Amino acid sequence: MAITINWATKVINIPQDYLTDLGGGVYELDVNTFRLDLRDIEDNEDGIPFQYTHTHNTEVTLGGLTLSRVVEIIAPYTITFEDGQYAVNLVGANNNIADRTNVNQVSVRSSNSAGMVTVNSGSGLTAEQHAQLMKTLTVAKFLGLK
Amino acid sequence: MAAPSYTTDLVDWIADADTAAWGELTGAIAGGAPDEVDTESALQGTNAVSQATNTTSLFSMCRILAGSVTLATNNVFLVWHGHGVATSLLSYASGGLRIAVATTLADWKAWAVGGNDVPPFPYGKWVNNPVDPTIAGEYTNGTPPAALTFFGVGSMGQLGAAIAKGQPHVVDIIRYGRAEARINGGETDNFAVFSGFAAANDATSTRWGLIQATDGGYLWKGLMTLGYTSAVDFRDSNKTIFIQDTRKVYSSFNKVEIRQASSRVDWTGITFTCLSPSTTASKGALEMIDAADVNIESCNFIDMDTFIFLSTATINGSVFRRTGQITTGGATLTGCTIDRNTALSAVLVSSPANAALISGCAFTSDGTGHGLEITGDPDNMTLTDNTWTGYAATDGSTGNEAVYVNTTAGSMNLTISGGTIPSVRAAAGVTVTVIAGAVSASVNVKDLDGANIEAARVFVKAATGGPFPFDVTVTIVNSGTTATVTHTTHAMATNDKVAISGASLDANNGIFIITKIDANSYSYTMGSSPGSSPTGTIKSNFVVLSGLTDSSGNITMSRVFPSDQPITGWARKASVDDPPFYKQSAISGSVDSGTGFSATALLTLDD
Repeated sequence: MAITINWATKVINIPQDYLTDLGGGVYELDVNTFRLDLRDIEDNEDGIPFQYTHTHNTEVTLGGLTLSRVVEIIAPYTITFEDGQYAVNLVGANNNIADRTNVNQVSVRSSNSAGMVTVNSGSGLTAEQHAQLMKTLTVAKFLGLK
Repeated sequence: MAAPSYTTDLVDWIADADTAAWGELTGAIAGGAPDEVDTESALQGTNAVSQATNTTSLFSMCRILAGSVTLATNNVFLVWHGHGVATSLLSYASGGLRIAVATTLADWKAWAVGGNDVPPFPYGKWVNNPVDPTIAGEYTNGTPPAALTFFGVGSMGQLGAAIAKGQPHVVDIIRYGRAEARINGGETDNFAVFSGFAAANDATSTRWGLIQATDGGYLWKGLMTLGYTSAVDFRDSNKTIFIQDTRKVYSSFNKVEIRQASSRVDWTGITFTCLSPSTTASKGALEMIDAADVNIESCNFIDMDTFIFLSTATINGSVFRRTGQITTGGATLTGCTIDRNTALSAVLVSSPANAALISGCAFTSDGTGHGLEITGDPDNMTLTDNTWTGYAATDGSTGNEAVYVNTTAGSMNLTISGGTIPSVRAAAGVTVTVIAGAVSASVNVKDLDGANIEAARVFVKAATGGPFPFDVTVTIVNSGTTATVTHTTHAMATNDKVAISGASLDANNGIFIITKIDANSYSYTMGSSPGSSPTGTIKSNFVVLSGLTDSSGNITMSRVFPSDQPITGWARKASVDDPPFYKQSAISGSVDSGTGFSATALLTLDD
């Protein structure tokens, strides 16, 4: 299912199956894909009369490092993940989604970093390694080991 | 596409090689004996027939064949004939030069086709005259042939003063058919052109008499088919086509037909002029049979008959002077002159939308008839920058109103943007509200490289300080999918758009076309029925522009603005199905009530 926006309440609804299932009750939201889908809605006939939902600053490469893209959801828009007992990892951009999320049973986990960079080479984690690490941490937390 | 080809349907009736004996028709035997082997006078091929005319009585030459010839419907026969001392011919009215068909020399009928007062006489010698044999002849003898089957054909004449010298009465090849110039093909650096057909026509071996080179242009008659059996690419400029005075044919004899959807016809600076509109039986028409790519630029059509275009035609800056009716078929007419059209309605369109494709045109009445007749179903439309001169000064039903809204019953707004305000006639059951003084508001959307962006979505609404609503709090009552808005002194009209926001029910929010109920309320239709009425602080804003840009990156509206209207809005382009994504670009300014509004929105990539 696709994300939707209730223009009356300014709530952005994210269905669970919009997320990538990492297993073990952990899901992932690709923030870049998410913001493109928001733009698509803003551009359609229903969305055009309303203010845009977010700002976006793309990746910037400086001195060999690539600073991550930034996505900021703008008030009064808020986000509601489809309710359920699962966790959502936000990847792909620094963002304020966790700050704009309506609280329910879903655990939203941001990985923002003041110096967050996108590693294109060298010793950085690959996406698969990152997912495996997050999965391991989640299981450890569940078992009370962390 | 292939190289252009120029052919005709004409069939030789009395061919060049025919040297069999000719006779003189009974009652017209005052001339000399026909000389069937006059190689000195030949116009076509190597042989002609001639006779002395030392007489003021009727003379004639006629070839009676052993077998008959039967013409098909709409066929004519064409005779090359003339007189070397044409100053001596009697006038057309007195039958100076005639064409005859016969069963025998004693059984014939004839038509007057020329005289010393019909070009090319008295200056020229030869003329190619067509005759539709279904037209009653002015002259007969014995039992004249009926219908379309004949054994003989020839030429007759009578002089005012006898000519003692030579054999001035001449006849050359005689043909029959639809008189069709068939033009196919054309390619880059070798497009089909008028001179191409004239060259084929004017060869000594052909002399079809269809499109022949003449001083200042080309003399044309018959059917000119552009794209006869295959597409034509006909591109020509700055030529003049004279339409021959053809008095013994049916009205649609002289006609241009554009065929084959893949054809292309580009005319720039082409002039078609009917030489003798008061005497010819066929003034020359043009009809697009297939939806070819037709581009007519700065052309002139003078004293011609009807024009039938299709939606694939674009006519710019061209003059239609004293012509018959112009049926647009959805063609775009820009900056044209429609001068003293002879029809009851100069321009006929099949819908209001097609009428809106006529802009910047100058209509001048000949004292009767309408300038523009709109048929189809009523719909709101805008006429832009057209002027109307000489039509009825006020609305009514005199038949001389500038615009005749002859649609099916209903109501529509006719917005006049620029130009002059036309008088309007409305058909029975039709209500037309003329909205004059409209101006345009337009936005052009480009990328940073200056390229136009198609399908960008533009939204421009009223800002504070103008005559139309800005963030006005309203109340709404829903009934089914109909929302009725109470909105004090909203100042809007039916078919205006509003943007509703803040309603507790999402179905009520968005952009809607309104139907005015009264000065304080209007309604609109929702996409779904919300089942109850909305609460919340509901805001209504007048929408100036809302929609997608066209292939040129433009979106435009036209409306009357009672006073200047400040505006605000934005342009967006961000579709998953149609990347790239762009960041929103803001639009602001003011619609001037006298000059409108125009702006460019530059979009930057959002990658």
